[in-house]
Amino acid sequence: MRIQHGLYLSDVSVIFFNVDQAGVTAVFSHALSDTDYLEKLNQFLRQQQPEVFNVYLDLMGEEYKQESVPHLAGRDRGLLLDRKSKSLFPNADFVWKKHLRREKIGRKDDVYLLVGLSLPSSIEHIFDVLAKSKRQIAGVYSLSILEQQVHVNLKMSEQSLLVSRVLGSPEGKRIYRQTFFRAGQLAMSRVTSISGETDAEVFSQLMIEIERMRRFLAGTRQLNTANKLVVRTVFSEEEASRFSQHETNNERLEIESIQLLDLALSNGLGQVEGFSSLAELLAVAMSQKRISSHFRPKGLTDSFNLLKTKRLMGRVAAGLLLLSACVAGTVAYTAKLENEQLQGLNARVETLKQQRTSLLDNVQDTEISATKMKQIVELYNDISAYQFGPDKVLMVIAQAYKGFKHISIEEITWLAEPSEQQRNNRGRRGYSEPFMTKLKAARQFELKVALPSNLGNRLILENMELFSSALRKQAEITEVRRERAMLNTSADAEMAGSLGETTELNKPVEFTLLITMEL
Amino acid sequence: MPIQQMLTDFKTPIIQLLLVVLASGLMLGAAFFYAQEVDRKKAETLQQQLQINSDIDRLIEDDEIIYSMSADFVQLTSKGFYAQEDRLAWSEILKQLSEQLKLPNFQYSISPQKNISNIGSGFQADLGLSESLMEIEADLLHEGDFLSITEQLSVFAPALFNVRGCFLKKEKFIALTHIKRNIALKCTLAWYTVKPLIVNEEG
Repeated sequence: MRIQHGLYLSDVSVIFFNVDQAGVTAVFSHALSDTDYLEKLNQFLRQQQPEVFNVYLDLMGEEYKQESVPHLAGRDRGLLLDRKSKSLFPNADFVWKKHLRREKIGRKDDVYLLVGLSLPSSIEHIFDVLAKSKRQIAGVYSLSILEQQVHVNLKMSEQSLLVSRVLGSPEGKRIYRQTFFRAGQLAMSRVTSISGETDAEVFSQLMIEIERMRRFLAGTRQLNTANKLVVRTVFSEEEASRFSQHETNNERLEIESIQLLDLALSNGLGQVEGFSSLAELLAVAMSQKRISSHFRPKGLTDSFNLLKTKRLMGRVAAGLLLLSACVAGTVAYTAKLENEQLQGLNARVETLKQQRTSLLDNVQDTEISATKMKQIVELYNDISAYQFGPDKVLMVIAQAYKGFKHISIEEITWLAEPSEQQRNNRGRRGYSEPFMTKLKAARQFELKVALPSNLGNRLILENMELFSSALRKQAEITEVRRERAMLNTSADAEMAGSLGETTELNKPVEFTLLITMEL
Repeated sequence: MPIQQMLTDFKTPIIQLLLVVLASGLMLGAAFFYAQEVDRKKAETLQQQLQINSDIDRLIEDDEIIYSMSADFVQLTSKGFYAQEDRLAWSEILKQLSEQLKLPNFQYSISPQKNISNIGSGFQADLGLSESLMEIEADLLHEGDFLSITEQLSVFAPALFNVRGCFLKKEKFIALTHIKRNIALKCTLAWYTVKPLIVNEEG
């Protein structure tokens, strides 16, 4: 544990102490009643040159007020509280504020605890000396306010009074601090000076002072008189032992003795070997916990703030440098890895270049590009495949025609597909059919056949039906439709006939079939 | 605290901070510049690799095409499909056919050549495909003559045709002993050629 320092100031003494593993060690102590205390303190500080230390105030001149203020935020709240503080404590040197709660009814005001502290002239002189010598003072704390820190770890009580010793009491006097907590919250504190030589005199007087405090609290309606006031004494082991032997009969009080070591343990200060007072324990607690300064007197903490800001700037600079170095290092390292990959990639590209060169050297000289050559060959193959030449068309029809000796084929017509000119004309109207689509489209053929009428209508129709079926069976033919017929017996057709001697005999009966063929 | 006082009090830390900011800026700048350069080179190399791969694929594909199709292409060139249209050759073959088949009446006409630009998907528009329509009108002795005509044209005439439209009509009375029209033929053949590039340039 690093040695830390503190300057304890009470109304009667000034003590400079070190805090380490062993506890608190006073290295300078002087009564304020002596005239040369300033000179001695100055001399001590010059000799010791302590780096940074806190100032702990354990003074009588503290006033406590609880005030309700309208709920405001930001700068307005600060200004209002400052104005309130000035009106409540016009002579106070320091004012400490703490938000306690917010009212639940009415205007829903904020309730603040305001503590005003008036410095005695002796302390003012010490502050002047510290300011002039530009000592590194980290913060100024009130011990009564700090008591709240340790009180939270004690058993919760509706109303309790923490009684502790103020350090550096002069001969024949003992000074005690009584701090009142209501529902665990600091409410007020006062310092009592007791004269007496023996424990019996002092403790009797202390009990009277406690009873006086109780009455004051009851009188100011801070105390619930229906319940007992829990009095918690926090003395050194020796004093606690002596106090326990003293008669403390008071039915309105409930006396509890708090052991300093137990309090230290409950506050996580077990590693420090021993304490002789609550003030020491609070100083150790302060040295280990980060609690913001209760008061910020002008000029007193400037040197420390300057030093702190310089250190902060130094740390920021170091941090920035470190961060930049880390980021730059990471970026450079990543880039280096990428560069190594790039080398491999370059090698692959070189190999590919060689392969390309080799292919280019061996490329065959042709009249036209390979792509165009491929397209021309494919175009030729497609036109050949979809030529609809007579050999193919007549062969398909001939296959179906086999065995139909009564049927005579009179006409075969390849129905003309639209010419390129017609297709282009369509294209100008927004419809352009590609050449290949048209080429591969199904083609239609008209087949005009005739049958001798002497076969009889029934046989003629049967023959036509069979011939149509035979055509449909051909793989290339997708549809066969009877377009025109001299003989139509379907129910929706019109049918007529001449049945007389004058009727021309053996006139062939003609049918026209529309055949759709796909190749 | 006045600014003058503040500058005096914090002179050293401010200078330190400025130097650190400068040094950090230089370090970071150098690192990022280096990284950016590597990134740029990598992107360029990847692009180059992509291009070379594409070139190689194209060369291999071209080689395969040439290997598999050059023989066919040479045949198409000699067949007159990839050539200038040879109408004179067509007329000579038609004349030969007429004489060979002893056709009593044989007429033909050929319309002006048209360029086809919209060939279809997978074909470039400036391939040079052209179409000429040939109309044939003939009196045939029998339907076999029609087969002979188209067969002879297929084999001997340069370029390639497609039957655009055709009409075959059998006469009522068939003569077997003398030359007479037994079947009437009227046909439209669409002849296709692909003009060689050099001709396009000249044109």
